[in-house]
Parts: sequence; structure tokens; C-alpha cells
Amino acid sequence: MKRVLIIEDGLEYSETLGRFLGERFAFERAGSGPEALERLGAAPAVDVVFLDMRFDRTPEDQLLGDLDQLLDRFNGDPVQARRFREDHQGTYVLAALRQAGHGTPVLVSYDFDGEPKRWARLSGRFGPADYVPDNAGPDELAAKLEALGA
Amino acid sequence: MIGWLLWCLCAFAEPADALDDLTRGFWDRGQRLEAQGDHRGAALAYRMTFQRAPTWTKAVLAEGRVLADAGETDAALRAYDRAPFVPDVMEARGRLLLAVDRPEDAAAVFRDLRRLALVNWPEIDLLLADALSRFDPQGALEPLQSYLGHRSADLDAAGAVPTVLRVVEGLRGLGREEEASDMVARLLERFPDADGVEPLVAYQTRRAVAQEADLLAGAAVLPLSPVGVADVQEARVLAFDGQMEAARERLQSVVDREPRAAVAWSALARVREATGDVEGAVSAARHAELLDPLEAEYAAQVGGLLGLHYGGRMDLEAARALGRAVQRRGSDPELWHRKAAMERRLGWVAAARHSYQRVIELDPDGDRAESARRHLEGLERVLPPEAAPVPSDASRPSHVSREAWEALHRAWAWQRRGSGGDADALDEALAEVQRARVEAPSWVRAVNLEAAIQLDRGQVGEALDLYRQSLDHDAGQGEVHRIVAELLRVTDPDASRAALERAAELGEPTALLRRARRRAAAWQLWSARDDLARYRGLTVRGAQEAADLDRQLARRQALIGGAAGGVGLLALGMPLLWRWRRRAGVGLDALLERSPRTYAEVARVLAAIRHEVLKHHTTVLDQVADAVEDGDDALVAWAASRLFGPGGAVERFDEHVQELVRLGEREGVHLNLLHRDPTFGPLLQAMAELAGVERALGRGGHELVGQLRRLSVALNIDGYLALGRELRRLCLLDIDERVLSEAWSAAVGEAAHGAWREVELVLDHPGEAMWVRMYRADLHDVLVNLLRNAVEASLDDGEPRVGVRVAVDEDWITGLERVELRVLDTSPRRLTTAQVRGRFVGRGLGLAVDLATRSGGAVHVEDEDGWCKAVVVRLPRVEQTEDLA
Repeated sequence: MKRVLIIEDGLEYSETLGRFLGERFAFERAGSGPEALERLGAAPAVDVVFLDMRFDRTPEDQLLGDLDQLLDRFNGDPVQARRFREDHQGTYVLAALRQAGHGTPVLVSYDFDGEPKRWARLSGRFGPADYVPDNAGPDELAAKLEALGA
Repeated sequence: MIGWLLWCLCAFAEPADALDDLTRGFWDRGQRLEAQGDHRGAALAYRMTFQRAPTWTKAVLAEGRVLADAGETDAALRAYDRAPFVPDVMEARGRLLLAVDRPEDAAAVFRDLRRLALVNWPEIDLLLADALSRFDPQGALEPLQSYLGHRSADLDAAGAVPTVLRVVEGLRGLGREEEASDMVARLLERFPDADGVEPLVAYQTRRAVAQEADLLAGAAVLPLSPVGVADVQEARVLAFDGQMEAARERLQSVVDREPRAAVAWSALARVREATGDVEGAVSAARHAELLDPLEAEYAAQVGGLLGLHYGGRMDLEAARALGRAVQRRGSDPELWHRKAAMERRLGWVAAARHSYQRVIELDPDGDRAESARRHLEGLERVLPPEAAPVPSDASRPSHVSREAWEALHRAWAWQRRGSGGDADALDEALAEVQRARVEAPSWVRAVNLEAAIQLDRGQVGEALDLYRQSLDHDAGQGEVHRIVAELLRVTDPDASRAALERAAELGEPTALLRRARRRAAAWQLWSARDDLARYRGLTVRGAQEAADLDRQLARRQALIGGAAGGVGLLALGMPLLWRWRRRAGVGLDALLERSPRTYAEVARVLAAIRHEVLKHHTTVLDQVADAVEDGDDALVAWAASRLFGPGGAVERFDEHVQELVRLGEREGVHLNLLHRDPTFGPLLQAMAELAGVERALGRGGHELVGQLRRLSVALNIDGYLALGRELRRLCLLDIDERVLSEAWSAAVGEAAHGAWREVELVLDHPGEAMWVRMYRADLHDVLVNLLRNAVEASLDDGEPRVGVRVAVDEDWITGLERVELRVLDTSPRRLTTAQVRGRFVGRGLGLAVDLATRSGGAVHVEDEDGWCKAVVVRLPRVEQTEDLA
């Protein structure tokens, strides 16, 4: 049974995937990037990572990304900087995983259908990775997880 | 009388070959005796010479000279009486009378000389002014101005500066400061490098500081709130479309709400002028300048209105206002031209000449004739009553003397001058504030100002001591506690925290916000929210951050507190149903059309619905349908909590809908998303139907299964895609060459300066689509302001060349791209990102920063090869797919 690490700020995916796909995959959960890094560095090994994109419920000190740099990106506006970091936290976590040397395949929960070039850049840089849009049901999720973990 | 004068002049004209041998002998003897120091002997010899040669006026001059040198004034004067109407002799007589401190007599002589007016002899004007300056400084003005107006006037050669100084001092003694200042200004314009003008320069500087101190004491400008900015922009659009009345009403409402926003008053003045309400325009423009006396635009506006619409009657005031404007912005030829027109009409020939010369330097091919006609209208206009000026000591505390009050404001004015690192100015500031403190030792404001000046001088220790003294006098100063906290942050963190705590207790806004953040991080939610509530009641700065933080804390409180699902749903469902019944109102498109700048907030809400509601909750509807079919009660119960429980799909969806409704109310738009919005209508119907499913879940049945599957399609496919389409089409704009060219035309065309039209624009566009999400008018304003600044800077001290380069940069981690608009100039004048963002460099750049920030962008100042600098606006790039073009 494939072991899947779900990285999300809430419990929605953990509950949904656990409920509907719990017999096909062994799910674990990490609530933040640092927690995920710690888990990936330990045994048993994870086969696939399921990564949420938006982390607006994670405590600020658990978020990855340089806030000072982001302040500069938004003319010093802390609200926009924090919101940006939360809205794209998934990419920060993905980059951190790769920088830490973890090559586990990652399924990103985000609709890149409208941003194919962006996805091409990210997947080329931080692959192996795939994405699944927001309205994907459990069956589609399962198919993607199987394909990545193969 | 005239004939006799003429005869005297002819009689005393010097002959070409004057003297016979005997007479020559007396003359030579006189020179010999003079050389030996025998003044009496020499005088006698010269007298003998004149007796023998009565036309040899040199002898008279010589006799008078040697007697004057010997201190025998009366004898010298008697000598001069021998040739009373010879101009040289009259001059010598006058000079002697001045030398022996008989200025009235000297003035009489020089007046007589002036009346002769035989030759172009401007020095007589100066001599008369010199004499008059010693007892009638006001009377000296006219001859002095006449002298300064002469082409051949030479201040250095004539040694005229002491005369000017006396006239100025005399006028000041009479309380005629304006005339004194005008005199000095004209002289310095004409002879800026004359010897001895330093006291005059110092006088003008001190006067300017004193005036500025007065203005600062009365200055009371506040920046426009975000809503106000939006309204002013809206009014501009209305005015541009010709809807003047609507624009006027909009601006009137802004100034009613924000009476200290100078920019709004200035805009209102423009609209009033456009509608013919000149009196109203002058009132509004004066208001703006009173509020913000350091901004050139407002002074220019006052000067322009007074010069244009009053047929010349207010030329003096107009000239003064334009003079103030030119002081603030010396590179604008239009201002110089207007100033010149005023000076010409006032008879200030030299000053007008100088001003016109500046116009020519800046605008050599300009056509100004048409502007002259505008000054001839409106002679019958009545001036509006003067806006009651704020007395410069209206807020002076009773225990503070006027001298201390004035010294403090002079100190403040010096401090402002010294804020750029001028150590001398800071020293002056320190001296003045210490003067104030001597007069009023316990005056807290003076102590605080001295502390601030010491900080500017880098004397942190002294500043800290002074702030502590200030707190000894008045421990209730929240802001001072906060400053002390900041100063001690590194050296004494414990004391710093205590000071910050005290500041927050006293209601200091920044301290409250910091404490709220600290408490929020420590999960002290209720006290953090109390701090935020107090903060938001005190200031509008950081309102968005405070509101966001408060919402986060409220959500956390709700998580902790919990709620009974059914009761909560009922409490929410009833008002939802009640609202849904109302059919009046408009859809989102109407809101966006009326208030296009709300697109960013609308986009955020739509994205949140798509992500939080549809993604996390309703995607399981098919599985719930399966569970109902299979009789899986546990799954059904779980689904019910996800859909209908606290924080569930229905609750979250309703929160977001209410957010949109409130947004509409804020913009004066009543949203009826159910019946009037083609995207939200079906979504709301589907969610309403879903809300009704809760009761049916317990019953099960085929009908319910079909309903769930239908709702899954309506929400997860149709709704999801519809929201995506709405999001992607919001305010999309391609920054192409046409957009840039339009902005350039507006920037250069509005200025209508010949020199500006000569500036070369270098455009560099990669040729691919550059989609951003920004309101078109906002982007236009950003570009126009940046281009104008670039042109002005380049013309002031660079080459007449400006560039715009469009590029793309990518964030390596997120993969997101940004469009870079790089506005390039050739001015070596230093500009930093901090200055631009801190609004220290004028409202145009400040507006650009605001608009860029609102669209998720940023402004930086960077280097650029081949140019002096680039002001760079970066905006998030929107990736476009074909179906969305």
C-alpha cells in the first residue's frame, strides 16, 4: 500500500482522502512545510506527497518564505505580503522539499489548467510533480496518486 | 528760472583750453600745497584759480575737496556755492552733506540733480536713495528701484549694497516687511553675486524660514484616505467625460468628509473653475495651499486663478503666489512665464526680464501670446471674502509666551530644512528650540522637538534623556513612550517592552497594533481583539492589516467556542432566505462597472469561494450520493458536518456572499446576486438547495440521490468553471505599445511645454502580450505620473531623453511572472525606493505607488545601463489562454 503524506493547513483532505481512499493508500498528515520536512527525513519512506497550495490557517512562524523579501515585493504592505505567502505556500514547501534533497513525487492541489506555462516552469524545476484541480473528486485524486507513485 | 539754469550750465561748461599762465600758476601751486598737506594754502590757491577762470569748475571741486578733507565742512560748502548748479559740484556737495550726516540736505541736492536729468546718470538715483535711506526708507524705495532698473546699474561699482541694507532695515522698522522683501528679491535676482549681499541673502532666508514657520504652524494637511483617493479619481473621470456637476458633487462630498485633504480641495478648485465658479475656485485653492504650503502646485493654482480672472487687480498677490510656486518648482516654464507677466504688469522690469529669460531657456519655441488675453477678463469680478486665516498662534498654550511659540516654530522650520543632513540648519534648529525652552522650560512640545532635533543630529543619548524629561513633565504621552521603546529596543529590551506596553495602555496606535500582534501570536485572542478595536478607532493607517488580523482572530475564536450546527445553520439560513426573496438590486457586473476598482476585492472573494467552499467541501457530493444510496449512515453524518456544520460549505459560502454584499453597500450598490447575477444566481440557488438537503439526508431516497448528483454538477463543474471565467476576465489589460504611447501623449500633451515636446521617448517592448489585472485608468495614471517625473528630472539636470522598457521577471519559487514597466531618465539626481514609497518626492510618484500597490504590484528605483536610473513598476502577470482573449 502506497504511503501518502498529505501536507495541508486544515483537515479537509486528510478526512476526505482517508474516508474514501483509506483502503488503497496509507495517509499521513503534516500541517506545515517544516513538519513535512521533518517527516520526510524519517522512516518509513513516503511514496507520494499530496500538497495543498493555500495555507491561511498555519501559524505564521510555521510558514516558509522570507517575509521581508515579500514586503519589498508589495511596497512594504504586510497584508499583501502575508497573503501572498499563504496563497502560494505550496510552492514554497515544494521548493523546500527539493532543496532538502527529497525527490518524492508530489501531487499539487491547484488548478494549473489556466496557467500551463507556469506549471511547465514549476514542474520542470521541482519535478517529479503533477497537479489536480480544485474540483477533482476522490476517484480522480486516486488515479493521480497511483500514477505518481508508480 | 529755466533760462537762468541753462545760462549757468552754459557759463560753467569747461573750456577746452582754459588757463593762462598766471592762472595755471595758481592751479599748480594749489596742487603742490595740497600734496604737502597745506590744505588752507591749497584752498586759497584753488580759489584764486577760480576767480581768474570762473568756468574752471575743477577749481571749485578742488577747493571744496581740500577743505572737506581738513574738516572744514562749512567752508567747503561755501566753496561749492560758487558753482551751485554744475552737476559735478552738486554731486560733490551732496556727497559731503552725506558724509557729515546731513542726509536731508543731501537728499535735497540729489533731488535737484535728478530734476536736471540731462544725461543718463543712474548713480544719482542711487545717491538719492542713499540719502533718503537714512531718514525716509520708504521714500528711498522709488529711486532705488529706479537705479536697479537701469541697464548700466552696477551694484559692486556703486557700493550700493549698504544703501539697500539701510532701506531694507528702514522698511522693516516701519513694519513694511513685504516691501523690504520684494526689494531684496529684486536686487538678488539682478545681482546675485554682488559683494556684500550675504546679509541680504541671510535676511531673505530668515524671512523665508519665518514665513514658512508661520505657515507650518498653521499647516494642517492630512493625506487622503483610500476611499477619498478613489472618489477623487472618479471625479476626474467624470470631469474628463464632461460631467462637471457630478464631478463637483463628488469632490464636495470628499472635502466635507475630509476637510484637511489638500489634494481634494485643489481638485475641487479645478472643477469649480471649469464650471465658471471662479470665487469658489479661489477659495478652494487657497484652502489647499493653507493646508499644505510646501506644495508648488497649490501656490501655482492660487497664482494662476488670481492672475487669470481678475483683470490685473490681483497681480501683486498673483505674483507672490507664483513666486512661491517657482521656489518649489523652478523647472516649469509656464510658471516662470506667468510670473513674468505679473512682474511686467507691476512694473518690475528687471524681475520680469529675468523671468522671461528663464522661460526662453526652458521653452524657446513656445507660443505665449494667447495667454496674455486671459488676464484681461473679469474686471468686475468680486473677490470672495478672505478665508479666515488660522492665526499662527491659535493653538498657543497660555503658559507659553509668543516669543517661545515663534522660536519653536522657527526651530521646526529649521529642522525641516536640516532633515536632509544640513548640519548648519540643525544647529539653527537647536538654537531656536533652546531659546523657546528658556522662555518656557516646562513646555513639553519644545522638549520633544529638541529631542527630535538631537535624533536628527545623531545624538541618540541626548535625545533619550530629553524624551525622559518630557515624560517627567507629562507621563501620559503615548507616542513618546513608543519612541523611547524604539530607541531602547537593542540596548535594553526589557525597558523597551515596558515602554511599549505603557504606550499601548495610553492608546498610542502603533503600540496598540504591535501589542495586538504579539498577543495574537500568543493566542490571547480576546485582548488582542480589544487592542485592534481600539487601534481601528484611532487611525485609518494600516486599516486593512488590522481588519484582516481581526478576522483571523474571530475565526480562531469561533473554532474555540464552537457552535451548534443546526442552530447556527438556522440562524444563518433565515436571513439568507429572507435576502434571497428581495428582487431589487444589481449583479456583480454592475458593481464592477460603477466601481471598477473593487475588482481586486471581488476577485479575492471569488477565489476564496472556489477554493474554500467548492474545493474542500462540495467535491464530495457524488460520494455522499453514493453513501445515501448504499445506506452508509456514518458517511452521511460525516458529510453533513462538512456541508452544514460550523465552518462548513454553506456557512463559508454565506460569509463570502455577505462580504460581496457589504462591498456593494460600501460602494452604494445594492447587490442582488440571486436574481441579478448570471454567475451567482445559479450558485446561490444550488447552495440554497443544498442547505435544504440537510433535513432530507436522514430520510434518504432516490430523489435525494438524484438531487445530490445534480448539485455536484451545478457546484463542482458549472459553478467552479463559471467562477473561474469570472475571475479570469476581471480587469484584464494588455500593456502594449499603444497603452504606452497613449500615456506618453497624455504626459507630454498635458504639459504643453515646448521643451517637453522635444524630449525623445525611447520605447522597448518585447512584442509579446503582457496581460495584467489592473483598471485601465489606474495604469494610465501610473504611467503618466512616472513619465512626467522622468521628463521633468531629465530636463532639469540631464539630457532630454526618457525611456520605457517593458520586461518580465519570474519568481523562482512560485513560478509567477511579473510585468516590469521600467521608466528611465537621464537625471543624475539621486532617488531611492524608500523616498518614493515614503511619499517624500511628490504626489505623482506617491499616487503611482498607491495604484500599483492596490493592484498587487510594487515600485522600485534601480540602476539601468545607459541611463541614470529606472523607476520600475512590477505588476503580476496574468497568463492568458486562448479562450480568454
